[in-house]
Amino acid sequence: MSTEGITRTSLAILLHTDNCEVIAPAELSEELRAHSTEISRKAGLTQQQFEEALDRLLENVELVPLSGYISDLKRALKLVRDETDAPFAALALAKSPSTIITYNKKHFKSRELLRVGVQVLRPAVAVSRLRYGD
Amino acid sequence: MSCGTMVAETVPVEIPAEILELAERSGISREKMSAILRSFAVLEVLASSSKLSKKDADKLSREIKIAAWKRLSPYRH
Repeated sequence: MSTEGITRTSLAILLHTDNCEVIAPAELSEELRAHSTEISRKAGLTQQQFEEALDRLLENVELVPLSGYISDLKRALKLVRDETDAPFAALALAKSPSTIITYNKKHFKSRELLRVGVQVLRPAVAVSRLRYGD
Repeated sequence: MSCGTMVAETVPVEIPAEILELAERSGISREKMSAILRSFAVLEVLASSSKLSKKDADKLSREIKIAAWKRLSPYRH
């Protein structure tokens, strides 16, 4: 499986800059679980393998319900190129300063997001930033 | 993680000291940094075990995002 699709769906990946907390919209995680049969079948994994991996993956992720970012959802719609990415942007805005780590940087309006305290980085860049302390 | 018919192995991964030191200077404990990196490692193992192509993964990802957005979009105003 490409990490690109599932990474964005399962983790987002949002980092709260101050404490490096990994956060994700709870609703996305719920949908991921709701689709677990389909994902595991297409991925050639048993459902148990997939769910076990997902549990491990999410055990260090703070899942934020809609109430935690609902007030930023309308603003977020103007900062993404595809409305289905709005929950990630809204949560990033709610937790600003924060970082969206994604393989699909082009889906987000990076310059506008940066003005409101949200960086959008590709994973490799995010790691190098951490490494060099930028 | 158990891997069914696959062989499960434990591979020790050393986190560079400079990253751990940077994390600690930023107020992030070594335990927390380790936990974050473990999450990403799980993702990589899952990815490498899967038969999904990038195209199929993207398609599935979009389906899931659309399903979530259907629930959330009524609250966008």
